[in-house]
Amino acid sequence: MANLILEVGVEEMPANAVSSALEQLKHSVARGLERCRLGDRDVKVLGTPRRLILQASAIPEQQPDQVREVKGPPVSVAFNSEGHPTSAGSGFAKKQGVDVRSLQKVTTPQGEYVVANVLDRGKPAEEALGGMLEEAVKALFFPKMMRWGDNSIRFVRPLRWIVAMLDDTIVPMEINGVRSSNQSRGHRFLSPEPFFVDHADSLVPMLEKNGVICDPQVRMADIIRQAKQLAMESGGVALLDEELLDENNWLVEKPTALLGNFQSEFLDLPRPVLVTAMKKHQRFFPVEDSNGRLLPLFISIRNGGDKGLDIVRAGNERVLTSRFSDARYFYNQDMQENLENMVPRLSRLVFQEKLGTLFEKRARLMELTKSVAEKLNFPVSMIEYAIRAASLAKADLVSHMVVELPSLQGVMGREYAIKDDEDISVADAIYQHYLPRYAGDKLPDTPLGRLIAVCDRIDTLVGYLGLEIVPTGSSDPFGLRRAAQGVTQILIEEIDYPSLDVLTEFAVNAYKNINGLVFDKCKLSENMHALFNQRMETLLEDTGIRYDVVNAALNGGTPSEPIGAVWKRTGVLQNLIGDSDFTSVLQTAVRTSNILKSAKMAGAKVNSELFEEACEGELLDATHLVAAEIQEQIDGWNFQDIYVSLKKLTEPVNHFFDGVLVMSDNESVRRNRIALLKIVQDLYLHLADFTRIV
Amino acid sequence: MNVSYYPPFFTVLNELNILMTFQNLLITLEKFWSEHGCLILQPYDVEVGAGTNAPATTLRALGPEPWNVAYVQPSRRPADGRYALNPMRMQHYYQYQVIMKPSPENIVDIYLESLMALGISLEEHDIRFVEDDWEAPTLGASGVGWEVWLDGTEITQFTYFQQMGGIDCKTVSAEITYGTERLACCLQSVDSVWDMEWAYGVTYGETEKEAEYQNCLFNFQEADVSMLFSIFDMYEKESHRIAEKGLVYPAFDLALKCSHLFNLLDARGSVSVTERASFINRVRSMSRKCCLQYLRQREEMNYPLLARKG
Repeated sequence: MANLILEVGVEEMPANAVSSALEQLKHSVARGLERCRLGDRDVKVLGTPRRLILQASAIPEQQPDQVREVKGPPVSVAFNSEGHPTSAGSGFAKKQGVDVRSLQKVTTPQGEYVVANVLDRGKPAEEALGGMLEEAVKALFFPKMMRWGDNSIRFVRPLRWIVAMLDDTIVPMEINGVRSSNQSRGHRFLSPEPFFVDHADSLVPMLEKNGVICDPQVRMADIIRQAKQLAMESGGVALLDEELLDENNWLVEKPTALLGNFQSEFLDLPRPVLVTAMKKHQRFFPVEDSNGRLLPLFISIRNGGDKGLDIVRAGNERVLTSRFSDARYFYNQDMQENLENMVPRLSRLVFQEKLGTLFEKRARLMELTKSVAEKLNFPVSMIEYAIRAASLAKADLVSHMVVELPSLQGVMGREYAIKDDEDISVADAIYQHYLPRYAGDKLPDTPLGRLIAVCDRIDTLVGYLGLEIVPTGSSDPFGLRRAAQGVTQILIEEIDYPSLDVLTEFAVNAYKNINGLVFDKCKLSENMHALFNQRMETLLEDTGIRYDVVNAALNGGTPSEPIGAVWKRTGVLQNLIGDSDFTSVLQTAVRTSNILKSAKMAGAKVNSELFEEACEGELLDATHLVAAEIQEQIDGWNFQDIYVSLKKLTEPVNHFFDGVLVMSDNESVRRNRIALLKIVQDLYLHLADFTRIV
Repeated sequence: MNVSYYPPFFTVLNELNILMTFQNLLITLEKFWSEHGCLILQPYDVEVGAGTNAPATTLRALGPEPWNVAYVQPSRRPADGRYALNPMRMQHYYQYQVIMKPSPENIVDIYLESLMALGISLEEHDIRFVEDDWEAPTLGASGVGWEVWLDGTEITQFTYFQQMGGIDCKTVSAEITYGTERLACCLQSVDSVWDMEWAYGVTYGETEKEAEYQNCLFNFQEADVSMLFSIFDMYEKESHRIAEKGLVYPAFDLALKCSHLFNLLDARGSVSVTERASFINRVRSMSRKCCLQYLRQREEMNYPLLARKG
C-alpha cells in the first residue's frame, strides 16, 4: 500500500475558482481510482491560490489481475463439424493470447459463440495512475478559461508545475509539456527557491515549512483568529463578512492580519460609503465599537509573514486615505446638487438598446407606479409620494458616488433625498426599491418601497419579455428570473395588489405612451406567466408544499387573481388535504374532469328544458348556489370558505352521475349534460385543478 | 527565482535610502527589460488611451511571430481628467508597457524581479495578484490576468491576450502595464502624484500640472464639438479607403485618431447613448480591418520574425 499526492502548480487563480476545482478534482479522481481497480479510497483535497493538491492513502502498489471475457466468432465458425478448431477459431485464440483449447461456449440470443477468458496482468499503480490523473486535471472546468504561451490547452491560469508521487516514486504524467516531478515551490515571496520532495507524505509539511498553509480551512481559521484578536486588542469588533473572508482566504497562501488606522474625520461620511470602500475596493475588514459604530480602524490580510508589516500597514493606510479622499470629493460634489437636478442626466445611461434610456425608464416607472397606486386605493397624498419616489428612484445612478461605487445605488439616493428634505417615505422607497438584491436578502418593508420595487421589476420584465428576450437554461444575463422572484416574494403577503395580467397591461401601456413601443400581448402574457409560475413553483416548494399540490394550485384559480392570492390558495389547499371530506371532493372533481376530457366537446348553454331526470335540475340549482357563494368570498380570497361551498357540490354531482348517463344517445341531451358539468368543473377550478393531485 | 539582477548603481541608491525618482524608475525599467531580451522602443506618436493601442502591441500581438518589446507610452484619457485636483487621476500619464510573445514560462517571476530591481523587497511588502479580466471594445480585444497590488495599491495590469481585433490569439502575448506614477508614489511614499519627484528637486507637478489643467479645460469645456465630429468622419473615411489599398499602418493611425476623437467627444458629453455604441463599433471596425490586413501581409511575407525564434 502506498500514498498518493498530486500538486498542480498554477499562476494565481481567481479567488472564486479554486473551491469548485478542488471539488471536481476530488470526485473525478475518486471515480478514476475505482476505474483503475485501485480501490475506492477516500481522497482529500487541499488548495491555495497557486496550487490544487490531492491526497489519497493506501493505494495498492499493483492493480489486481483481472479476467476479461472476450466474445469471438460463432461456435459454428470457430469449430468444424468434428469439433476441431478452424483457422478462424485458432486465429481468435492466438489474437487474445489464450490456448485454443481454453475457449468456452456461451449461448446468446443470436446463437452460440466462443469466448476467451483473457487475463489482464495488473500494472504497477504509478503507471496506471498517470493517465487517469492527467485526464482528471484536463477535465477541470472553470467559468473562464484561457490560453497562454504557444499552447493549445485551456486552463484557468497558466499551469506551471506538477508534483505527482506514490510514496517515493514519481508518477509519470504530462500536461501541455509540463511533466510531473518531485520538485515543488514554496510561497512566492517567503521561499522563492524550488525544493525537492522525497515522499508523498512530506509534500504538505514541506510546503508548510516553505511558507504555504495548504489547508483552506486552517487558513480560514487562522484569518478569523488573527482578525478577532486584533479587533479585541483595539477594543472593537471586526465585521467578518463571510464572502469577504472567503475571498481573502483565496488571495493568500499564508495570511497575516494587520490593524490599520484612518483619520477619524472620515467618519463623517455615510457608513455605507466607508464600508464599501474598505470591503469592495481594498478587501479590508471594517471594525466597529460595542455600540455598532464604526471605528477609524481596519484589518487587512497580508499574503506573507511578519516581515515589513509596518511598511505594508503604511501602504494600506495611504491607499485607503486616498480612496476616502476620493469618496469625500465625490460626496461633496453630489451634496451641492439636488437629487432632482441629477434626473436629466439619466438620459445618458442606456437601459436597454431598444427599450431606451434610464430617463425613459423613469418616465414609465412614474406612470406605472401611478396606475398601481390608484388601483391600490392609496390616499391621494400617498400617491403623490409614490410618484415622487418613482421619479427620483434612479437619479443616484448618475451621482459621482454611485458612478464610482455602483454597489451604493439606492443607498446614496436615500442619503441625498433626506438631505433634500424629501419625505422619509420617499427616501426609504428609493433605497428599498432595489430589495431584494440577492437570494436571501431582506425585502422592502414600507408600502412605497414595495410598490416601487414591484413596478421597477415589472417594467424590466415586460420590456425584455416583450422583446422576447427570455432566460434560457442557466443563462439569465439580465437577471430576469431574479426580478420575477423578487416581485413574487414581495407580493406573497400583498393580497390587494392587482393580478399579474393587470400589472403587465399597465406596463405595456407605459411602453406605448413613453417609447411608442407595441408588444405582442399574447406572447408577452404567455412568457410572463411561464416565468412567474416557474418562480412560484420554486418558492412554494421551498416552503415544503408538495409538488403535486403546487401544480394543482398553479393550474387552477382565476386570471384576475393577484400573486398573493395564488400563494394563499396553495397554502389553503395544502392544509385541506388533511380534511376528512377532501377525498370525496377530490374524487368528484376528478370524475367531472375525466368525463369532460373524454367528451371533447365545446360546451353549449345549459337548457333546463332538456333535463330528463330530477338530479340534473338539483345539480344546476347547486351550481347556482355555490357560484353565488364563491362570488361573495372571492374578493377577500377566502379560499377556506370557497372550499366549504364546493363541498356542497359533492352530493348533487354524485347523484347526477348515478342518475343519468352523460353520454346519452340523444345529442342535444348529451351536449346539455356536458355543458352542466363544465359549469361544475369551472367552480372547482376556483380552488385548484384537482386532476393534478397525485 | 534568479535574484542576481540588481543594477549596481541603483543598489547603491537603495542602500543609501535615496529616493527612486520618476526618471530613475523609467530608466531602471528600460535597463531591466532590455537585459531580459526586449527591444526598447520609443513612445508611439499618435494619441492613445493606453500602451496597448500602439501598433507595437495591437498589431504585433497578432500572428505566430515572437515579439518582445518594452516602451514608455504617454497615454490620454480625456474623461479621467480632474483639473489636476485629484491626487491620482489625470487625463494624461505615462504607462510602461512590456509585451512578451509567446509569454515565457517564468514571466511572473521576471515581472517580480523587475519590482526588486526598483528596490522593492518582496518579503517586506504585500504583493497580491487579484483577478482582473480585461477588455478593450474599440480594439475588439480581451484578455485574462490580474491587477497586481503593492500594499493595497494597484501598480500593474498583467494580461494574457486572448483576442485582438476580434481574432483569437493562438500565440499568446503577456502584457505588463506598469502604472508608473502610482509606483513612483509608492516608492517615494507620497500621497499625491503632483508631489512625486520626477528628478531630484523637480516634481511631477512642476512638469505636468499646468498642461494637465489646460487640457482639462479643453477636453471638458472648450473643444469644438462640431469640428471633432467632422474630423472623425473624415479620418474614418480615409482609414477605410487606404486600408483597402493595403496601407495598414497609416490606416491604423487614423483609427487611433478616431478613437481619441471619440474619447474627447465623450468627455465633452457630446455623445448620446445611442451614438456611443455606434461610435465604438465604427472604431472597432476600422481596427479590425487593419488587424486582418496586417495578418494577411505578415503571412504573405512568410512571418519574417518566425525564423529567429529560439
